[in-house]
Amino acid sequence: MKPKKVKVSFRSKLEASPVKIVWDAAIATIGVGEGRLIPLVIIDGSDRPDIEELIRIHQYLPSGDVEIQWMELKQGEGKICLMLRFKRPVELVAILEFDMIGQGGLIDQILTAKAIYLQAGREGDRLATTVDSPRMSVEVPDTGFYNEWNRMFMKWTEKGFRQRGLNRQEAKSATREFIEKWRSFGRFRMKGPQVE
Amino acid sequence: MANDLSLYAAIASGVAALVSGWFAYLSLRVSNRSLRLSQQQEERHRPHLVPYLIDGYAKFVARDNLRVYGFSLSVSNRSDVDDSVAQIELQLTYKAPSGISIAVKARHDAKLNNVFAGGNTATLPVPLRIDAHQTIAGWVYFGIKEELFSGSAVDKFIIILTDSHDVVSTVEPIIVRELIDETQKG
Repeated sequence: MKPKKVKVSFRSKLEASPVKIVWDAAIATIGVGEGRLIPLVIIDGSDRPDIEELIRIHQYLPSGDVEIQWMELKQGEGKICLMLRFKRPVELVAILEFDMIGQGGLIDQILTAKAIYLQAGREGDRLATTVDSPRMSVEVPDTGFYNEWNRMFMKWTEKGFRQRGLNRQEAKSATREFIEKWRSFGRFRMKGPQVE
Repeated sequence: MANDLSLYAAIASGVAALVSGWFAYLSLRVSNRSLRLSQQQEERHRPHLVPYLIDGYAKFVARDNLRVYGFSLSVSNRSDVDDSVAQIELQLTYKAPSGISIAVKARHDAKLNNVFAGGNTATLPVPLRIDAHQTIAGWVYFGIKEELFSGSAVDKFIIILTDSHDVVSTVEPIIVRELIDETQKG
């Protein structure tokens, strides 16, 4: 599917700006998403108290509805965004912006796991220090973006290797190896105890 | 003589033009009226549900730490086509601990009918079919965990009905009476 230019409307300027990601990690849990390794992002709740509240109340309510959209913002060269348009239990929009070179692996893992965990925090928070904080999982189904992503992942990973001083040939081969290893690691699944 | 003839001809053609103008005006009026009628008919074919709030109560269930809201509603289908309610939600606006105002939606849960009047109330099922020009009445229930509010009061309630065409109708309860269970109190 070819990307196309669309105009997206938002209720406020705040919703139209990307949310600040302060940390990312991944969690695999037995019984959740068949034990897949699901990426987690800690977002800065001081900028978006509405998202912080959504994550807090999510633990007291049944699952809601959300629409997702992968997109590139205008003047967002080298970045890709995941727009989450929550419909229930609270109506709001969150735009997660990822750096193609630094966070390509994270985007790839979101697409592999078909889900992402959102957790609110503050600058300096890490998963290890906020294990008990509330978090919510959001399903990220394939919207036809995966094929386009494959091309972008190759291009930007190669660019990253070139920036680190590898020549074109070396960068190409390193990219292939990295993606292969990353995806084999990303296919990890937490298995429950075997019942005899 | 020739001048008279041309004068008569001019008058006759003027009269004919006036008559045809009159007929054109009449047919314009008729076509406007029939356009209005067909627009009204089209309007009546559009889904149009009108909810009416009869009563509203809130009750705290200590055992589950749950705040349950019950509303008695009537829903009228004012269109010429059958319709059905696909979803009934309660939107509650409250102040979050951070100070911002948040509107959260809870879905109607028919299982909560035993909280009020021991389950002896007519609960509206969802999905709910409402035929053309029909009115249906019953109770809707919403349960919210007390922890969600974190001590703050609800500023606003809105009951939202969404039909099978995604057309939304709302009704806003202003006063919701608190029910206290005497046996719980003791």
